[in-house]
This record gives sequence, C-alpha cells and structure tokens, in this order.
Amino acid sequence: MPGPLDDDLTRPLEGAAEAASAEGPTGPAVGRDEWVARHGERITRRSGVAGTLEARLAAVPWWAWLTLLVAAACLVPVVSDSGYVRRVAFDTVVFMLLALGLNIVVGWGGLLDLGYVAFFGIGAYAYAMLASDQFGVHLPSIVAIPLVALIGFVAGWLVGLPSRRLTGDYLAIVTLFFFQIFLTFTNNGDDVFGRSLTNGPNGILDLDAFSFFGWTLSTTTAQGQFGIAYLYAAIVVFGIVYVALRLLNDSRTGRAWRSLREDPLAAELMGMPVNWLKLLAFAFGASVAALTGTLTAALNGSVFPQDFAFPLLIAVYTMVILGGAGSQLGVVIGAILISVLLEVLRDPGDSRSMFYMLALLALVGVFRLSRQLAVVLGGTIVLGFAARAVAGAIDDRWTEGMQGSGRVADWSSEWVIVPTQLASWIAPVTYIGLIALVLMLSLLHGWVRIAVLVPTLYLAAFVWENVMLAKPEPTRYVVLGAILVAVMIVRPNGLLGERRVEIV
Amino acid sequence: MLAVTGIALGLAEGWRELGQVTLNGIVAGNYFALGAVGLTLIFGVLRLINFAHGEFLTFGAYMMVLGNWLGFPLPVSMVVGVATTAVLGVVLEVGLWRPVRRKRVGELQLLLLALGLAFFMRNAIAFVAGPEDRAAGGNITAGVDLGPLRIGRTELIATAIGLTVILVVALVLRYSSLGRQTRALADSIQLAETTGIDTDRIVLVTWAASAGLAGLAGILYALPAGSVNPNLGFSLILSIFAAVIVGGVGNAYGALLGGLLIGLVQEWSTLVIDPAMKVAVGFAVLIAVLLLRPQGLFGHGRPVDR
Repeated sequence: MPGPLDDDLTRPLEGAAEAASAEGPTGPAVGRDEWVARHGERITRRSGVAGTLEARLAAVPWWAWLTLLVAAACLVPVVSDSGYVRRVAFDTVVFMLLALGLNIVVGWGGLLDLGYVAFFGIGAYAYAMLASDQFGVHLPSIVAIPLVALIGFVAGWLVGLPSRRLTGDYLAIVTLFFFQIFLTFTNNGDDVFGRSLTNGPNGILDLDAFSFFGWTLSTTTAQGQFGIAYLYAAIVVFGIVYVALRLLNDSRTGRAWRSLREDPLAAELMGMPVNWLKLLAFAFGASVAALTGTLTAALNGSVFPQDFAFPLLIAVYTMVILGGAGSQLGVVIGAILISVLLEVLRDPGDSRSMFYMLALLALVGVFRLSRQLAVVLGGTIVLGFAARAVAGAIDDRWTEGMQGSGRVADWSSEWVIVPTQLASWIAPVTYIGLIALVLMLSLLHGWVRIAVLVPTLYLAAFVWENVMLAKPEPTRYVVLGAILVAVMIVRPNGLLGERRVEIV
Repeated sequence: MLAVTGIALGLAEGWRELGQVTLNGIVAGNYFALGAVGLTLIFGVLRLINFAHGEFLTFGAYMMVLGNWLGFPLPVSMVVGVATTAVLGVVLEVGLWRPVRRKRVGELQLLLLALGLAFFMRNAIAFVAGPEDRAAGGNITAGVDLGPLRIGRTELIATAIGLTVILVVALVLRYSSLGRQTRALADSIQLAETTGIDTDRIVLVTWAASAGLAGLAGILYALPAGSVNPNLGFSLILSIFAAVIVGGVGNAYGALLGGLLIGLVQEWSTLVIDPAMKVAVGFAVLIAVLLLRPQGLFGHGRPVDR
C-alpha cells in the first residue's frame, strides 16, 4: 500500500543512519529492510532506454498531460474545417468521458459493471424527458445537466444496492440484466399504463439544444455542418470531470477504493466500509456516464434505444482495458486509440494500411529486434511472393481482384492473392482456419512456433484483404472483440496500468 | 409458493390458459436447464463465469444448420452440432483458458476475457454465416393436441429429448465415477487433486460436456423456433444465468431445477404482463433469490463468497 504506511515500515530505526554511514553509502543499511525499501522501485522500474523514457514520462505532472490533451482537442477545428473530422473529435471526447467514468468503477473500485452503457442511456433519456416536448418540460440547461448527473448517481446507487452482498461475478450478471432491461424498457416503453414514456424504437425527437443564460449552442452551422460549440462544450465537461476525478482519487475515498480493489478482505479488516465504498464507486461512474449522455442527446437532438447497444459497452471496456484500468491518462489514451481505430476501419484503404502497420508493430513488440523477427518477416514476404507467383501462373483471374489504390494497395496487390471472384466456401474456411491457427500458436514454442507463424500471418493478410475489407461493419466488431481478448492475454494491465509484483 | 401462484393465476386467468403456459414453460425450461447445467459446472470447477456460454448455443445450432446444408438427415445434423460444440469447448480450454490460467491473471481479467470472447464469437458467427435468419430444418407447422392443450410436434420431440438428457445428466453426475469426480472438483479443486483425481482431464471433460449440452440446448431451441440467427445465444443467456443463480451457483442439480423454474415463471408471467418484459420477470426472481437466499434455492447453505 503506498502512502504513509510504507514510510512507517521502511523508516530506519533510531541510530540506524549513523550505523549505516559508518559502512559507507553503498552498504546495506542496518535496521532497514532493503527489499521492502526498494519495493516501490521494483514495481515501476524497467531497465534500458525504455525504462529511462518511462521514468521521465512518469515524472510529467498530471495537469501537464491534461493541458496537452485539452489543447490538442481544441486545435482540431483549427487544423481541419471538415464537419466529419470535427464530429469524430466530438465522439472521441465523449468516449474519453465514458472511459473516465468506467475507470472509477472498474479501475478504482474493481467492480465489473456490465450495465455501464445503460447509465449513459439513462442520462440521455433523462435529458430528453427534461428538455423536450415529450412531457412539455423545458428545463434550462444549467439546471437540467446537473439534475441528470444527480439522476445518474441515484440510479447507480439503486442498481448497486443488491451488490451489497455480492461478489464480482454476481454483480456482473446483475448489471448485465439491468442493461438488458433498460433496452427492453426503452424499446417497449411506448405503452406504459396507456402513456408513452420513451416512444419505443421511434425514440424521443426534437430535444432542446444546450442554452446558457440566453445563449444557445446551435447543433449545426449555417452550412448544415456539425455545430462546433458542442465540441468545446464536451471539452469543458471533460476538463472539469478529469480534474474532479483526479482530486477524488487523491482523496481519502480514492485511497480507500484502491485498497478495496487490491484486497477486499484486508480492506474490510482495516475497518473500511466496503459496501459503502462499492456503492459510491458505482454511483460516481453512473453519474459521469449520465452526464456524458446529456452531451450526445443535446447534439443529436434525439435519443433512440439502439444508440445504447451492447457493442458500445464492449468498445468502452476495450478502451479502459487497453489504456490500463486505474490510470486516468491511460484510459483517455485508450479511448482516443479505439475511437480513431473504429473510424479508420470504416474506410477500406485506411484499414488496409492500418492492418499492415499494426501487424508489423505487434511483431516488433513480440520479438524485439532479433534474428527471429528477421526470419518471420523474411519468411512471410517470400511466402507471399511465391504464393502469388504460383497463383498468377495458374490463372490470371486469381490475382487481379485488388480494389483501391495507393502505395500500400499497389504493394500488397503484388504480394497477396486477391481473386476477382471469391468462391463462397473460401471466406468461412480461411476465416475459421485462421482462428484455429491462432489458437494453435498459443500451444507451440520455439522454432515450430515461428514455422507456424509465417503461414498464419500470410493467411491473416489473405483474410483481411479478401474477406474483412468487403464487410466493414462486422469487421469493426470482430476487431474490437479480438483486441479485448488479445490485450487481456498479452498485457492484462493495459498500456499504462499499474504494474504490480506479487509479494510472496 | 410456486403452487400458490399457480392456483391464483389459474383462478384469475382460466385453467386452460394456465395449462398452456405451463406447457410452454416446460418447453422453455428444458433448454434453459441444459444451458444452465453446463454453465454451473464450469463455474463450479474453474470459478469462471463463462459469458461466452450463450455463443456455444448459437454455435451448436449453426453447426446443425451446416449439417442440414451438407445433406445429412436431421438427427445426424443434431449429433454433428452437439459434437462440434463439445470439440469447440475443448479447443478453447486448451488454446485459450489453460494458458491464461497459467499466467495467474485476476478474476476481473478472466471475466473480461470471457466477455470479449463472447462478443468476438457472436460477431465471428455473424461474419461467416451472415446476420440473417436461417431455417433450422425442423417441421414447425405440425401440431399435437394434448386434451385441450396444443403443442408443436417438433416442440414435443425437442422437449422429450431435453428432459431425457436432463435425466441422464443427473444420473451420470450422481452415480458414475466421472460424475463424482466432477462434483468433487466443483467442491474444491485442490482437495480433488490431493485425492488423486486427474484434474486436467476432468476439466477437459467438463468443458466438453458443458459445451456439448449448450450446443444441444441451442439446437432444441432452434428446431421448434424454426430459424437460427447469431443473437440466439445472447437472447437466452440472461435467463440461463438466472437459472444458475436461482439453483445455487456450482450446483448442477440446482441448475437443472432452476432452469425449469425460470422457464415456468417467465411463461406464467406472460398471462399478466407484456411478453416483451419476460426478461424483467427473470431479473425480479434473480434479485429476490439473491437478497433472500444468496446460496440459491437448492444450495446447501454454503456462503456465496469463496
């Protein structure tokens, strides 16, 4: 446990400093457990250039990172005047907020909340009901937004209540149920005791735009493009939430959450109100999600049940896990990466480049700069050219189906077999074969593994070029699921998560 | 309590209607039960809530459709579906779960891995087979009259198969050496190991059984329904979770009875409320059980936390 306790354990005994100085500065200190004293270092230090770089980066204060993030987000409209880019920037900030909220529950509280997106939906629907003609209520934004955050807090509190006696996995099931019921209710809420609450699948339309003290943030510009004011509104909310959560994390409650996550039993023995803390984490996360819901609801001017579906939950979880649960900066970076990735996958040309880049990065990450890397890369490239040459010699139609243009496409069309017409059995068979090969890789070691890796990589490229690019929508979900699984296996603590050593 | 509710419903809504929904409840209950027993066994043995269990149901149903497409007769296709799903369970254990367990990752990470796997599998199935409904191959028009009640012929056959398999599973668990070893593992994997049980082998058998039964559940759901789609498993998994918890997590007999109970209660509720809200009834039962009797209705009073 960091903090004061650590100091107590590692403080030298009376007179130890004198005794130690007698042995010189490098000798082991008397009365001081070296292993315990260096405990903190061992957690974080890595050797080499990476370690130094990491230490430097870790020394940058959190507000500098926040300023950098906010400044970068603010500059997006300056760099690009495309409505599409601005809208993507807005969505990314929304994802950043959602990831921050989920980080409270998962990263700090250590609870698995599978109903998180439902709170996002509750926020959006609450705003819709408080600021539209649905019930004829038109609260000013300055009242409606905090009220929705409060509603989210209370909703989280109520859903968390059964978790009083539940361990992690029960909670996951209960919250998943809650999510499903939220969806059922919003989809069928057009006839509750003869009164329409949610309008069912038709959603609630014509919401009020944000309006502060008579100044309305219009959702579109005069040219019908995305209203830039909402991007700045989202950034302001993000900044406030980030700072507030930072302070919360450094507070007594934040420290209690961390100890709860590390070891609930020990935390309870220390006299911590475990149930109270769990509920609090849950409610804070739900509150942030609901607050975020107001942003999207006000910008879209409408809410629909299908806006809050299961893939969104997986996306937010992938962001938090990839970035590293527990680290605010980490989850925000995870949100940016996943949000951009999901956008890139919409376009075949971009996602082709992305695929080869990520494959190369992953290989370098696994093998470092070693002989094995050279063998794998060289083998894959040779295999590709050989396979394409053979296929081209048999029949020209087997190799002339490459769509799109650009340097990467030109290059890969020389390397991957892309038939003009794909027989219907090829897609499923190669796809399943690829999954089987990947599963097999986890069982192999040494040179056999490298020998299998080469055809696996080529098959992956084949499947990507021929099968995945043709269906962008399911591909995005498959990639999302694959990333979540891969991160859990390769680096369960994420990119910036706190690495911990097991104290045996 | 169940009987009292039943009588009250019968008086209020008429006995014929009650009989009909009871019949529907038993039909639904048998595939819930088959799904739940596999889920609860895996939880008991590995302490893993397998969120991807619903996708086993989907996979089994699709493999049966594939068998039909290859021209096998329906019973053979059903066997193909169950067998391939069992193999999938074993492959995932060997290729994914065992390596991950060796790394000693935390409980939260395992749950998230299962969640990611479920999402991946569902979309991979949608990817290969297409998102549209596909015909399951059973005859869904023929019906059988049982006195004043009516049941589809395929439904009747599916229910008969389901109830038979439930009985066989219960007997195997109770009397065979394999069943005893599995239950021993579910009680405590360390104790089982010290008594000389080959735990790795039993874990593999449990995965095969769990996935195979899930595949069968998917098939028995798809045949009377007439069609399969990639969301088949996800639409059932919550009720299956409810069945597992109601029966007491890790308790195989409890899961069988819990499945039947959830099926019955959800179908009864359609007499009173909008059928679309069926899932909410399952949730209400789940919450009630969790608050009043967290070890499950058929649990032995062991505490929930390990």
